[in-house]
Amino acid sequence: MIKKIHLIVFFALGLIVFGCTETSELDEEKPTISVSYAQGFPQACAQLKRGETYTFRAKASDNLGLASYSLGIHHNFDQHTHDDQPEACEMDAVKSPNNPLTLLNTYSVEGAPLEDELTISISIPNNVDPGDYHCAFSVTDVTGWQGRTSVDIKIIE
Amino acid sequence: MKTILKPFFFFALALFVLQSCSEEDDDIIVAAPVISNFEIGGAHGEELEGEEHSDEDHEGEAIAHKGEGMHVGADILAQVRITSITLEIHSDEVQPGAGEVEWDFNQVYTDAKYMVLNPEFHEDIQIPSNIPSGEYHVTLTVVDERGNSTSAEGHIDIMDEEEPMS
Repeated sequence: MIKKIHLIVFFALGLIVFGCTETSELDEEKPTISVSYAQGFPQACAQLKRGETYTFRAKASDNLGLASYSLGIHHNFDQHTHDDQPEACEMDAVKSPNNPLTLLNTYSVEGAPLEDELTISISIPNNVDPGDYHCAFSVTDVTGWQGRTSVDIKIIE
Repeated sequence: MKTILKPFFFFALALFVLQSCSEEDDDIIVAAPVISNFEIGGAHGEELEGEEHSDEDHEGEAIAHKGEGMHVGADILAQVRITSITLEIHSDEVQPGAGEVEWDFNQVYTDAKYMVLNPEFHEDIQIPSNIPSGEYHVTLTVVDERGNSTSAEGHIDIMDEEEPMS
């Protein structure tokens, strides 16, 4: 009888230790997103013509599951920088925006896949200011970590 | 004696097992979000270096011009998701003169791209052209889903519109 109780106690202790460590395991890995592959678009320093439609492509991955994307385009007429831009492109002169293209779309990902490719068709309106822009991709995982990549692009007439 | 104690024992054990796990979520103290690389600036090249302004914070004093854009940026790191980012710009020192109005900017951002553990805040703010020149305070406040909040403060000198270059 006493042996039996010992067994139960051991079992219960095991449950406490393992049962609890499992739930408190932290996800410390951020998802990644990149256009650095052959079909990735836009590549750094790409020139996009007004009036044309382009298919933006980026690959994302995570250790637990992807939850959502955002894709933004904002002007860089003031030549600011982001923390994730490795390449430098030739810039136009600093100028004030008149009618810059500003776009921010979010897309949810179904089924929390570990890998996914974002493919989005975007038309560049005819009436926006040509010049330097940033194209900012971000991906969020199920935990709430965000991975980002930002690409310098130029909109031309 | 054992048969009397047994139900007791199991009850206590069960309670212990259940409680030791359910404590997790509620009692863990979540540290407030951290703001780093807080940056305020007008057009490129106008963020002064700190040398001549050694009494200022390490970002130096930023300058922007009326009627132009200024950018505000920061890296944020939180233990639970951010639920709002508030940007406030105002001045205690300047009084509006003739034809000028006070500028009291206050905007709450709840964009999906910011509702994460590690957002990169970046916004371009259009400065009105009819406000008094002078030093303005810029405050960025982030709040996480536990209600913890952290603020970062900075200054920007807003000057008259630049003469068009000839």
